[in-house]
Amino acid sequence: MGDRCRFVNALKGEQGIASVFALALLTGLTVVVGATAAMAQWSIARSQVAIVADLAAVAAARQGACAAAELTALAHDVQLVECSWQGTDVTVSIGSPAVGPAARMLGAETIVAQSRAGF
Amino acid sequence: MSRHEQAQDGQVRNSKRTSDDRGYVIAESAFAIPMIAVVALIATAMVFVAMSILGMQDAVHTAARDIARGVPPDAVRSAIQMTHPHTTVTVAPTPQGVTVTVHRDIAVLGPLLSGLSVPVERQALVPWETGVGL
Repeated sequence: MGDRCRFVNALKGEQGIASVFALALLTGLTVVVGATAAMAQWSIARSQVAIVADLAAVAAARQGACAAAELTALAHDVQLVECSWQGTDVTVSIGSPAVGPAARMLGAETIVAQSRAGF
Repeated sequence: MSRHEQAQDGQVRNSKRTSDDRGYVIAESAFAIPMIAVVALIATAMVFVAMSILGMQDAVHTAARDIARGVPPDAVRSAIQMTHPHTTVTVAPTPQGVTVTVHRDIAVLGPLLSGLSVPVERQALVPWETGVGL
């Protein structure tokens, strides 16, 4: 009962109320900053893999061999997952290990990007 | 105590509480608002850096493709520097293909604090097109 009275009396004053609001706002902002950083890292990694997939597909289409796609993938430290031909079109899949908190949150182990090119 | 007297007593207690607490909100806000501003500034800077990195990735990809197709490296270099100022572009041709590297020190807070920068480097290797190469 005594504790409850002290709590009610403390709430009557305005001392500390701004700090409580500020702390809540800071906590929220810190979470937003963390999420922003994680998503930025994820977007950059995805974009990089997509670009390498494009380059590998064009290389394979121009040289008419999947070896060119593999060479391009290895030069960018990623792996060629699949390379298949349909007539004069080549479809290339590139995979790279997913790292970072966003990947853990999304449950993704690898980032895979696919691209198609023809000549 | 009549209702009028009770109301007067309540007003006196309210005004006493206000006078006791006067200044606390301002003092606490003076400490808290700059902290919030700093966190918001960090978030903005991170988004800015991420956008710059994505832009550089696209630029280096396009540049490598252009050089592999036979566009003169100087033309490609000036095109990148027009869209991404303060970048250093390195073109390294090899028998297998061309490697283009773009380096830039991204000023995290723009001109506000030019000393605080993040070095970013992006690289792309593209095999030569048929009929082009060393």
